[in-house]
Amino acid sequence: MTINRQQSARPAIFCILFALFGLLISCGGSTEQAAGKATPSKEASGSRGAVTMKLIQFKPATLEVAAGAEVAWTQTDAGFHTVTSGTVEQGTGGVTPRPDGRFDSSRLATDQTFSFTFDEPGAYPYYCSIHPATMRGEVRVRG
Amino acid sequence: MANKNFARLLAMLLTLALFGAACGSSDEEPEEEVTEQTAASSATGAATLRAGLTELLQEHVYLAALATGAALRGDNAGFTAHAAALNGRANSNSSDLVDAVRSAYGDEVGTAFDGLWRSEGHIPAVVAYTQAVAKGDKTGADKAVADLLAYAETFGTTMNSVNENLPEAAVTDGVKMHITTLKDVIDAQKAGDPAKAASALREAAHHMGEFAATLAEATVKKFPAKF
Repeated sequence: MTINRQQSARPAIFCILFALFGLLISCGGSTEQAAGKATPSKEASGSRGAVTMKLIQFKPATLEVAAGAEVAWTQTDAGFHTVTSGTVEQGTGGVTPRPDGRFDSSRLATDQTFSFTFDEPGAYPYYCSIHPATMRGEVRVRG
Repeated sequence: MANKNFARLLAMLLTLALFGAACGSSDEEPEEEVTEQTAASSATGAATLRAGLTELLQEHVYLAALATGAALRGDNAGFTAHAAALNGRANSNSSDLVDAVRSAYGDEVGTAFDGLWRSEGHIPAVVAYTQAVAKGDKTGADKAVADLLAYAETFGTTMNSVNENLPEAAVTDGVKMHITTLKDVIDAQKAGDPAKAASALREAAHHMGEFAATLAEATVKKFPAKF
């Protein structure tokens, strides 16, 4: 790799500003990855929704559907994931999953799918019981 | 503190790499090539990465051993403190490792690594093994080991999918060796044999140094311009 030096002031000022911006980013805190903070994804028809499990994440993390919609989860990662309704408590050295019994896919291998129909309006948090520390999602059902 | 500085140093190295790319040549001014300096910077970057990963992965086994030792002697406060230092949401060994991976591989892979590293099949399974060993529960201990070995397979496959220079089998075997060496530490702690526990811990730490070298080399190979 070759570094090219230059003498003019204008590019140098730009470079200094760019580096300072990068340093500000690098010195910042860690990025919060909790589920539910992304903008909800609204499916087109209202009768179906789709979530993909990829790179240890539910994509989209938050899905909005109409009451009566069926949501299908597709597992694309190596290993296993689950789709388990409930919440996750953060502790000092780890997490404690709190399933609520509403739905649970059990272990899904690569390319397996799981579906659930949401009849009642409300917010339905869920998580992967194998990766509860970070892999969480929410389905928001509108009336 | 040293690990947080390492994560920030990695991020700064990345920034400097981008800085070097952004400061492109000007049509108005003559350019000057500094290839020797660049080669030295690259060698320093790669060495810094390897040293940083070694420090973090060895810290991982030391904190794990401190946590399991505390658990086995019934020191709940000690276990809680070391578990937090090992795997807390922030200001922990796990969060520093995630930051280091994120600084090299980007946000999406960093998030995936965060989920993978904090999987129930990793540190919680080590805790489960320790708890099972403490009460003589062979079935529970065997299940925890099975969960850890399954985790090793998934870890190898996933890391290979984000970096083709990391052979799946090599990474899986590396994690399995980590599991085996740490298990030896826990078993020696349970047996009340401090000499054996110390010797096993040295072995576990040495292995992590080798594992860090494998990970660092593959990362440098994937992102030569960054390191």
